[in-house]
Amino acid sequence: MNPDSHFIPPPLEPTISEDFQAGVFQKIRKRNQRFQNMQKVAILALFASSLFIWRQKQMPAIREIPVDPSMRVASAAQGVEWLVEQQQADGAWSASKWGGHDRFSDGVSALATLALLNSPEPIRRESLDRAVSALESRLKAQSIQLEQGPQFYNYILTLYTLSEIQKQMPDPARQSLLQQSYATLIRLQQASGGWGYPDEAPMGYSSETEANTAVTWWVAQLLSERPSLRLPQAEASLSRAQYWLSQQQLANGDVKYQSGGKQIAGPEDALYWMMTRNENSPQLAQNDAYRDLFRLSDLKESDLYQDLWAQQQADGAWRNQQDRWWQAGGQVYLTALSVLTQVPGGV
Amino acid sequence: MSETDEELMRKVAVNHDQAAFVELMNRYQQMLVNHFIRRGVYQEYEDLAQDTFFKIYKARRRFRSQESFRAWMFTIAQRVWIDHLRKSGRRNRREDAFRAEPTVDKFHPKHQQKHDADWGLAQLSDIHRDVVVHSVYDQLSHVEISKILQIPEGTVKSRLHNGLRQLREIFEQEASS
Repeated sequence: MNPDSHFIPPPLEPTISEDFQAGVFQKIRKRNQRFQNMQKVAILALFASSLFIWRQKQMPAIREIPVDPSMRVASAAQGVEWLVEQQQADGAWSASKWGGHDRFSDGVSALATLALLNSPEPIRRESLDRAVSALESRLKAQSIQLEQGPQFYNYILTLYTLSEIQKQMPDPARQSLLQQSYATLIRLQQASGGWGYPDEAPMGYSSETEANTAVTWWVAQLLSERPSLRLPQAEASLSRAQYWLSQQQLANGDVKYQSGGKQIAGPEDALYWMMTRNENSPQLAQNDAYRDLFRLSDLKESDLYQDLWAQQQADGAWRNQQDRWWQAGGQVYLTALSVLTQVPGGV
Repeated sequence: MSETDEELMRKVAVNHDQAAFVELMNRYQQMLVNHFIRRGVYQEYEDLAQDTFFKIYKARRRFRSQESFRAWMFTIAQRVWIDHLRKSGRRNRREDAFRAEPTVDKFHPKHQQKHDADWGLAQLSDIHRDVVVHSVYDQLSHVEISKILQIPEGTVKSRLHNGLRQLREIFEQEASS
């Protein structure tokens, strides 16, 4: 006791409960139990990762036969040449003239412009400028009509292509147009976080305005361009879209085409990037160039290119009336996709 | 001759000696409980004392044999007390202890006689009470208090002096009235 504190009266002392020390040992036991559980989890995780590595080693390797890059360049260049020849005076391409439908001319023009932009060999700048000019005027028109129900894919593909062009050839006027268009796109995001077709379905399909994985994936791709476009609301929109997409994947790896729908997209139908991740098929798809675009982009060094080249016509174009989307996009669509499959910046 | 605190703690640290740990608890459990009450914990003092022993056991390998066990124990008790204040958000309300919600706890100053020690301690500010409790009741040296509270030794001395002076005045005033 401090000698200067003699004036302080002695304090009351509480009686300590009988199980005081038992309580301390219980805390120690609990802590030891937690530690042991963590050890078990760590051992299990180690075992699982070893098993995973072992399984990976057991799986047959993808056929990886080096492809002569010059062959890809030659094939893509021929395709681009054919596209340039078919370009109209206004800079756009007609889908209906080459087997598709007029309603998809805008989307087809966007894909053809993207092919020109990524051409492996120099093309006339004038051709690209006309294509870009046509796309810009079509984007303005589409933005006005969008909510009345034209094809949503046209809008997405036009926006995607112009965003790529803006990256390589920045233009302040185009920047403003793109920002307005992105704002429109964000406005169309559904409460669920996904996008569907605002009104009409693609040709041959029943009307489906509900959000679906294919469209939402494209829009998510577009919104990931947000830093260059400085759209403050894009980040929140993208987060919601990514969350929506993550909700569509099932435990077995398949992907639902629509959140409320009965369709299970699986690897074949909707999320193309997942499709190529899930299967390493040694064959091109049966009449689905869209699918092959993603498949070949993933399996870059595969000899699947041999099959793609075998389908190319003497004039440089690709033609397949059995293709799943032939009636929509026709020959321009197939050729542009086949070119994009073979060039580094294609997708 | 009984073993010193430090010898017992070494046994706990090196051999996980449970009997030595029980002996340390026997020696200090009352002191720790009293300590938390003096510092204004009027309801959960046993929990905090148990937490302190638990943390002592957890940190047993960090005990250095040349240091005083009691000072080391109060260093850990100080952290437990700070954690408690953070968790319960009581730091700001602490000075209002007298005006706190009614409690049936007999150790709450409100329920004590005006000449009781805890009643007098509760009149002091936090900074003075902490030093007085460590010095008078925990019997720690100025150097040890300085380390535990992380304040200079001179500050410990002045706070102790002022705290005791205030306490004396409080009791004298109460006696004369």
